Amino acid sequence: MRLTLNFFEESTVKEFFGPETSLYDRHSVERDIAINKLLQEAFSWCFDLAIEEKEEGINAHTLTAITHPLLLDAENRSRMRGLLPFWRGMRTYRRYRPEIRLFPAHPDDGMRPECIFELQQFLRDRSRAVTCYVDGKRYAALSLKIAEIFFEARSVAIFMPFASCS
Amino acid sequence: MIMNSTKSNSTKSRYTPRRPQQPSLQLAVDTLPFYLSHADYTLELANYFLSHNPDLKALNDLFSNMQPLQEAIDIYLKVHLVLNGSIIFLILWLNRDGHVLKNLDSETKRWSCQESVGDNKD
Repeated sequence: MRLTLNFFEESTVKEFFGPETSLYDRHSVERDIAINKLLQEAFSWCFDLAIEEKEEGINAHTLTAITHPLLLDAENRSRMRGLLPFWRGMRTYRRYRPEIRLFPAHPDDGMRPECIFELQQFLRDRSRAVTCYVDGKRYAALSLKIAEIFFEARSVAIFMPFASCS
Repeated sequence: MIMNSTKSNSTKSRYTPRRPQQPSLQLAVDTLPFYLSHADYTLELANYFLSHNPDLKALNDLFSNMQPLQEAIDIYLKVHLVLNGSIIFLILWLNRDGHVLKNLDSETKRWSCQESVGDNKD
């Protein structure tokens, strides 16, 4: 009975998708296309908003910053929120964009580490991200912003040293 | 109602962003080398680091693991110097025998190199 079923399934797959394409490959490709489209719709508005409303790339900076491997950790993401005053966590994105709710939620800031990893890979892949691709110009803009904040705070740090350096 | 509106206006005007604390600043030290290594060369960023590079030495005692940040800034500034130097060298090399001036259109020549043409005539 099992042999018959397997034979039936295989013959059906070959009939519809050709002899070299398996059912898994077919659906995984479609899944990737669907995820790419959802992510593009979910995050392309962040870059568009920065241009249209002249918010100095607020959302773009957040998306650029999240590509750092250290930010897989929720604690580091909360520290980044303390560093960049315009930081918008994934919880904010999930509130305004229902597409992102497809990703499983995390109690800390709205998204699980594996989803952040997938987002990082998406943002750094030019062929997948297209308009959301984080390029060198966006890294340069973010570096300048972090440097400005860091060096502006340096005078306070020199004259009011903190008790412990983590 | 009026009281409420004035209260909300006053709270809005008094709002100032929080100053980053030590863990957040330490995260800036840890993450900036990564962002810099992927960043394109921009004159604005290079000039900013050139003006603030001496301040890094003063921060060595306050933050741990400053070495990668210093190295990343040095590499970025070296690229800045190499790019500027190579552009100047390229211009000099192309113009070693008036090569650039000979190949320019007459209008461009008049527009950009009026003084040098005048000097050659003299």
